[in-house]
Amino acid sequence: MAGTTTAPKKPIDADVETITVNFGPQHPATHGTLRIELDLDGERIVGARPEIGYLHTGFEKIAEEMSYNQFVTVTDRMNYFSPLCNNFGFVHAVEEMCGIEITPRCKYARVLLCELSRVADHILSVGLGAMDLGAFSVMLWGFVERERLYDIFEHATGARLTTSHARVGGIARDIPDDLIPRIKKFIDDFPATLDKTEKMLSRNRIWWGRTVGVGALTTEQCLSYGVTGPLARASGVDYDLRRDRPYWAYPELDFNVITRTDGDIYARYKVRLDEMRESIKLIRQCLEKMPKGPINIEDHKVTIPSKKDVYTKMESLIMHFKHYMDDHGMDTPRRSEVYSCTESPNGELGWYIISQGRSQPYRVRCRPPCLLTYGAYPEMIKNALISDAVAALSSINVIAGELDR
Amino acid sequence: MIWGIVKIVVIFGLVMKIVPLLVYAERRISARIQLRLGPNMVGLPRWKILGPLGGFHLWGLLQPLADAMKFVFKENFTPARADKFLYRIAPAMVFIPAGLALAGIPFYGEWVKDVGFVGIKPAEFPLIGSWFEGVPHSGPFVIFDSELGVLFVLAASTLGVHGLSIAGWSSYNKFSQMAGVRASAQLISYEAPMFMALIAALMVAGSTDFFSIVEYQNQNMWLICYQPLAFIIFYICTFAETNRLPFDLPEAEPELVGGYHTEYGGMGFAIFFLGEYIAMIVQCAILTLVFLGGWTLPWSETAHLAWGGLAGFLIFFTKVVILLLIMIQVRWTLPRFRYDQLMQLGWKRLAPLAMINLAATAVIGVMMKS
Repeated sequence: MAGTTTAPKKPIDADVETITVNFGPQHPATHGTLRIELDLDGERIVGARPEIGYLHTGFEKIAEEMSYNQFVTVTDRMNYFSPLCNNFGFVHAVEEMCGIEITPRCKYARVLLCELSRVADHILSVGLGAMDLGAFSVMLWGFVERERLYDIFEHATGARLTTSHARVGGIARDIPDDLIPRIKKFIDDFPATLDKTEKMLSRNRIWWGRTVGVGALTTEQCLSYGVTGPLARASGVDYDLRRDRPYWAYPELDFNVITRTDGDIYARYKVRLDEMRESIKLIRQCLEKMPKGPINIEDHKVTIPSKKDVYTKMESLIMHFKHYMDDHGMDTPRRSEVYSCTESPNGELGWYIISQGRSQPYRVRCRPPCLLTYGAYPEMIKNALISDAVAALSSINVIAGELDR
Repeated sequence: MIWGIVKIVVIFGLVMKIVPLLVYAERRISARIQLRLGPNMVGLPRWKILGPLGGFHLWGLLQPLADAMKFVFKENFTPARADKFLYRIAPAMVFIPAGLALAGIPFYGEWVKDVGFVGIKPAEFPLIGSWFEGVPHSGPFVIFDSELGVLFVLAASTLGVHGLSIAGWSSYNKFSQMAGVRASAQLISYEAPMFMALIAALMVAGSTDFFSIVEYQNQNMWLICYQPLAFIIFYICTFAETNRLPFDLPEAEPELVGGYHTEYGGMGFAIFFLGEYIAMIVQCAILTLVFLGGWTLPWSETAHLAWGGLAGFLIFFTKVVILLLIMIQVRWTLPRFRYDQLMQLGWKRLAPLAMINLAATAVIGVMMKS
């Protein structure tokens, strides 16, 4: 994807004198370290060449030296918008590889936390989009809600951002009972913020002027670039892994897949807002339906046994010992490859894992949703103005950590 | 002579006090809008001499002072390939026109004979009062008193945009350069409707002199009642004139980094900043004088003479401050226009409206006379 060229370096119309501008890597609108080389004719963009790799961290390579559960801590560092979705997405792939069926309570708990993360992601990306177009206050209203979500995450996982909450075969800790009223209070209050945002922007003529018809992608373009998530749904691609490749408790829950047809920034903004309302619906259902029972599976070749068992039962002691020994750990298939994907807030988050029977993966490859979307970015801003490039960039919601990995 | 210096000192001293307060107000109001607290800590130092007041937070009122200190001590960075001379004088070219425009703004009507200004009789102060013995006692409280009034102020404040363009061009930075181009393009697109709106108001009042305009409004109704459309157009253009959101295109941060002041730090930036805020005060003062009756009140023809003129002074300032607060509120709520949309708004919406308004005013004026 790096160096994708949409316009020839020399413009076709040789009479037009263009200037080349480095948009990033230290530009305030890039929200991370992205670089786009723009060829400008006045303020009009005639060519755009996104460059990635400024935040390359070697996360995928690190995985080869880590056991599966250790790598969970790296997945949340990839995505600072919705770390829990990455945590659970990765262990979901491992579970598919090993053929592990998680407990019903765990299924609901994961959906609950993932949907809370989805809200946290969307409210921030809507806010950042508004901030880049000058409506700074909307971003901070969203941040207040995000702060409350962080508190909920902290209560549930012990950390605000680097949650590292998933374990293969379960969750690090069960959902605490006193968290439920907090989540209930949050989902009761949260729609008011959404309404406030809508009141501020949805019928604002300046907002319309900046977003309607700007940065649009057609359905065909979305399909050919592999765009997924809210952007694809805003362009009329009716594709949501939660429904189309059901996992966890999603098949048992009732929710709608939001689609719009315009494909522009306004449609993305509306899709994100409506998805947050759907997420609230899902969270409410999860809280109602979440069954009692164990959160982790009982197979201690996968999950660590409880401390009590370790001290009293020999079998458990051995298992515990194996989990914490180098190169022992959990059982994995001798020779296996798996591609598994979940619907992260930004789109299809895929994990491609090759196992050779060791406790460490042989190779892990991540398919971050924003990487492929970012590939379509030059298409969005063709012949647009610089201001539109900024608006389009924030509507993609590029998460640089995930993009460069 | 001495009277002139006093006026300069008083007016500039006053405005230089208002600007930090305005910055403070802006930060606190924006904080309220955004569910934050804003600056509330910088207050009195913990010196023993201050007694129990030492360490009092003072609601963060000294924050602008701290900011100013920071600007003074920051490095004045100059890019290696910048045009050094133009780069250095550009902030002044924003600040000086703003100050010039301020000189034409009358802060209060006249020096009431034997009553003194703002309730202070010269005779009560033997030392200073003796300086004023020979001063003609009916000079209006304006630094540059001219019959051109409005025209002078507008001409001066319009010059400010050259500073922005020059800052953009001389910085040797592509983003700054684009901001400079934007600033001049913006100028063309809003000044036409702005002036046409103003002319319609001036036609009703029949003068370009601020004193006559205010006097007319004192005798009749405020001009906003005769010219509501002109008021709205002028107010919208005010936002563009002062580069405030939703028209802050030359310094649109997410698009052009910092716009024309990308490369400026320290006092260079501070002077741009100061110029912008003074321009805001000047524009709101014009609006107050031309449309909102200046220092008069609608229900009383003599209210502004009370307390030896202090009342008029306060009335005028209250109106200016209300307009400024509306500007702040708008800035923190609306998104930003796009470059071409501003031009469209200026040329396709506001300019025809202002023109129609102007023509209608002229026709009605002639019909009423005949």
